[in-house]
Amino acid sequence: MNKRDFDVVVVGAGVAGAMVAYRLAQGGARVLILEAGSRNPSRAEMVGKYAIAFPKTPHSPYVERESDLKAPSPDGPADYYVQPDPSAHTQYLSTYERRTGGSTWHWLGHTPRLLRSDFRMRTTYGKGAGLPPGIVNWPISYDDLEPWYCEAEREMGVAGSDEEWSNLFDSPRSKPFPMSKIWPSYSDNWIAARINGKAFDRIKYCVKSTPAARNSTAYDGRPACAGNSICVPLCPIGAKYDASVHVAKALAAGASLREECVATGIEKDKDQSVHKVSFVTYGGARESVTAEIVVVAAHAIETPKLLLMSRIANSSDTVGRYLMDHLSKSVYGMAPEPLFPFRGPPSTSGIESFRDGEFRKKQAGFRVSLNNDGWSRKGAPYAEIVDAVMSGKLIGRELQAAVFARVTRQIRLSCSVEVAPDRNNRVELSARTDASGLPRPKITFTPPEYSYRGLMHANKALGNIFKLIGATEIDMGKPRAYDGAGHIMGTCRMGNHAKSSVVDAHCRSHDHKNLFIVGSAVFPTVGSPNPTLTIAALALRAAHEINRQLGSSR
Amino acid sequence: MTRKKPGNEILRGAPGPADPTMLEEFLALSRILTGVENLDRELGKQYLERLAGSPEQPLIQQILERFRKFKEEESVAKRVKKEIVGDAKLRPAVCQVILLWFTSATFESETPPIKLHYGNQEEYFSGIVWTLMGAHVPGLSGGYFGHWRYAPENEPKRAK
Amino acid sequence: MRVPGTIRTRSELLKLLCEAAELEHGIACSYLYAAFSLKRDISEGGMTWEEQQKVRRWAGQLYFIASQEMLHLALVWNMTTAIGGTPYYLRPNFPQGSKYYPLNLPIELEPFGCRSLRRFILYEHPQEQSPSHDLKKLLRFQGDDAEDIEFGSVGELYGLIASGFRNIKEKELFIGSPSQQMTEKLVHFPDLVAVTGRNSALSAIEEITEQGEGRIHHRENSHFETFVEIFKELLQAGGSGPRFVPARPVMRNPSAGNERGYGANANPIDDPLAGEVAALFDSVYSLMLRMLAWSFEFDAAGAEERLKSFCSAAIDLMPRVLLPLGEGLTLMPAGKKYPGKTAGAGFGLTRHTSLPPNEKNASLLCRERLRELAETAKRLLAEDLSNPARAGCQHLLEIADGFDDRVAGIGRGKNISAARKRGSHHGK
Repeated sequence: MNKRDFDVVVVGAGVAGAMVAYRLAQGGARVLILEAGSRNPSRAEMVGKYAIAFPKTPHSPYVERESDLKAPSPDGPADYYVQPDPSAHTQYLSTYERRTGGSTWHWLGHTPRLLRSDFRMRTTYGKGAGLPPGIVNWPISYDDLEPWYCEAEREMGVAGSDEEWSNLFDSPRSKPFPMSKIWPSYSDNWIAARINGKAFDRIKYCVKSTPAARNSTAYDGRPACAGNSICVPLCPIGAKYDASVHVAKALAAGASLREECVATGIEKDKDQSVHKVSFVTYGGARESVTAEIVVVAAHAIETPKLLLMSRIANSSDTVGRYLMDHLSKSVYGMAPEPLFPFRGPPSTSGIESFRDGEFRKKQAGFRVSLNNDGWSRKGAPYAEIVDAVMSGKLIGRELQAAVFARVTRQIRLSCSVEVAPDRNNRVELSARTDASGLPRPKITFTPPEYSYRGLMHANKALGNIFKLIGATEIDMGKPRAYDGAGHIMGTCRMGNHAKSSVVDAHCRSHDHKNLFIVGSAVFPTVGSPNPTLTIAALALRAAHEINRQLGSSR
Repeated sequence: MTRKKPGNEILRGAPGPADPTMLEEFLALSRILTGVENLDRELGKQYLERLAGSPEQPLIQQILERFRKFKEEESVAKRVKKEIVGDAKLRPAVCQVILLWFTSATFESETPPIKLHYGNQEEYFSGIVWTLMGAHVPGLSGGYFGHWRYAPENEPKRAK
Repeated sequence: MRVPGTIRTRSELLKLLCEAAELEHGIACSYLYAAFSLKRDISEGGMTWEEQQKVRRWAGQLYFIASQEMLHLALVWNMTTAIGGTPYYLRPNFPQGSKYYPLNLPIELEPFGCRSLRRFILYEHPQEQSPSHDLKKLLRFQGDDAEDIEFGSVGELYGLIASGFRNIKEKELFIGSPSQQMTEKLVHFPDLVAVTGRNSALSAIEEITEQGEGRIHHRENSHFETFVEIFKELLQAGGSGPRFVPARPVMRNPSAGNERGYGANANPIDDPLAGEVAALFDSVYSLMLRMLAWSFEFDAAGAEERLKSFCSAAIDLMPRVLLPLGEGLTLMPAGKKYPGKTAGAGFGLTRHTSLPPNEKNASLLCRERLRELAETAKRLLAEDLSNPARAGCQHLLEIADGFDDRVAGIGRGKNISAARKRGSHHGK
């Protein structure tokens, strides 16, 4: 006889939650997904919102009065997070999306994997004083996760080059990519021809196409990429993967979904198991559900927030700690000839050469992206048009020529620098509340010097690229300035020991044997790749374990 | 000496269809300002209405009045450049007209970062600067898979 | 439908491969023609911004499917050379009636719409099932007769070809040189694989049929399913009804006018300028085909780099010249004989030789021909062309101009720089 409402409740309908729900429902479990946000309207409607939005932020297609109130998604560092004064303190700048499908609605779509050493930083680079104390080994290895990486690539539909990616930094692939690569852009090829093989600080540049969950052929009933170019914040045609795909699959496999239900607490029983999840609807109704197993997949800020509110899973005092991101930095230059930005996906190639090496004993590694979006972040082409008219007094064909002579040559290079884990970088509950009456997250974040050193080195590596290609009007930004990469990670770290970690190698809470936490919150360290593929791989692996646990308890 | 036609009311803020003559003038001027011959009439009507409801309204009125004086001349383009664009007072409104056709947006202040205002979606997807420079309106498909590998089919004309 | 039911000789197999080549090729042109006809800008009228989103996505999907048909053609060429044949690039000019192929479907050039989509769906229909009741209902529309739809399928043809590869002894069959095989490394056809034996031949066929009709229970990415979905979307959006008009009023089955050798039932373009642009399209198209077919036949051992350059010049003609010319024609008038209609690319293949086997001569013929076509393009640029047609002509000039640099080396060896210094007779 079933005492519980469901076998599994999954809190969060993002990529991690949706994949877990799908696999569990496929396995015959009765699954409920609880999602704080709303369901999106049609893609056309969201494109419509985006079209007339200013500024065109990641949240702009998803603006919706009620969900923005009741389950707010941060769209900047201060509209939802409570952070110290930006004039005196560094800020946490990455944001996320609370709605069915989660932040994958507006992700770029890049799917590189972690490298072998990323899983064992302490062993590989830990001798000597350079490595920050927070850096630890993962409790699993690259080889443990590799088959799940392949699964995740198949589930999402990843396009990549087998030839370029067969064995990067001793991290081999056991299966080919499901689809052949997204073609590098004209700009990528032009740059590659001028820098490939040239060394910077004894490391050779090598431009590779970036693997992406973006269709290069019809896949899973979704069309191939047609270069709509607004991947961030939305793919108008569904060629870019987003988790609504797996939400639909989970529902088709028999899972249930309740949207606009904001989780408020998870209750702990006397025997330390957790079975009851309480939530509040947008209408204000307070409800709860019970399940054999609870999975929290609410992304790396809402997850610790929920656990802290519930006062569970935190015997290690690490819930909310070790908050990480990648330090992102964009640099701008003008190429000597037109490279034609604003076409294709915003990025199709990158440089992986600086992600690993002995230097990681002392400073962070980083990934480089070549971008196809020109100086759009600086207001191109609008700013160029206004300037050409107002200062240049140009009109007509002369205006066109002047604007295009500039805009077609504009390049943006960017880097994504590993942030080392620091216990004092953390998510806590602030005293301020949102419209649902729940505490807003209090964030403390200062990038460690280890990462700043990496950032400044990355800057030099990028500056050197500009030199090699003869770029002018170079804007390297301020040395220690960074942007958020949108990669929120680390707040419920994985580890073998209950005293120093929140979950074990299978994402099971040390404290509560029927509580699982999935998503980027569990990353103990972050390397430099975009996290989503790793999130998906870990989620699939955790689902396998949960299925096993459910099976053995029946 | 022509009398003011009733349609001029649109520039005084009253709702109503654009005076056909004024629309023609606006289109003729826009062609010179943008350097593009085939500007869409319907779009022109909408942009004229947006400008009528904007802070630039009195400047637009002045611009059209000035343009009217020499619009039939052979050297009209030169005169537009000298007497309209060259006039620092009128230039911001000129810029608005151009930005509208090019991107469907108007701007708030010219010092960066410029703040933009869009109209409706149809206008956004009708912005012409993107195809002129060999790209496409962001959000609309650029074409076949992989086209970004090549230089654009419709490369912008290089400066002489 | 077809007799015999199984293939046992090389000659029969080669003939079928030629038929497959012809079909893939012709179907690709038919898809491209429909894609060319789709509108781009809201200012063209007949579509709201939301409809424009759909229309451009359909264009992207059509181009994608056409590119996969070209991949199929390339795979068929690989299969052909693997067993001792030469790549077949000819096809009859449009239109051909239903009885020309066992498909029982006409092969035509028509703008995007219910009629063309219906044909496309049937071209790609899975062979091992008859049309579902729902599909029949879907495909019947106003004005059509109530007869059952009788057709063969491309899948059947490949079934026969597969039987040939299975039946004929492998060692006797695969006599082509492996270094003739074209792969992604030599020509920019992603997913192009070499065919070197029975297994690779059968898996090439499997890839073709899977992309075209899908597999049982897994058709969602197939051309067939994609066309069905587009068709449903089109019907939902109002079909070819009064307000929503996704395609330009492009004529059907155009021919570029004066040259002899076009199909009897084609419609010669009546506007002189459009006719000249269409003729240029045909010439570039024909040259490109000959260059590619030559490349697939050429034994590349030791000459990979030169072959790569040669191929990339050929392949570049497609997106840089043919696509803009093809789209550009749909913006130019068809002529007084076709009131309200715009022109289109006839994909006319007129009598011409294949390129000669000798590398040096092949390169020479290409260079000469590109220069001639560039002269035509230059002359046309002085006329009132549509913007895409103008772009296509400009790019042709660039490609012709850059051809020497690119393929320097094919058959010329160390004499290149000397020849250039002498200001050889390949001057302006």
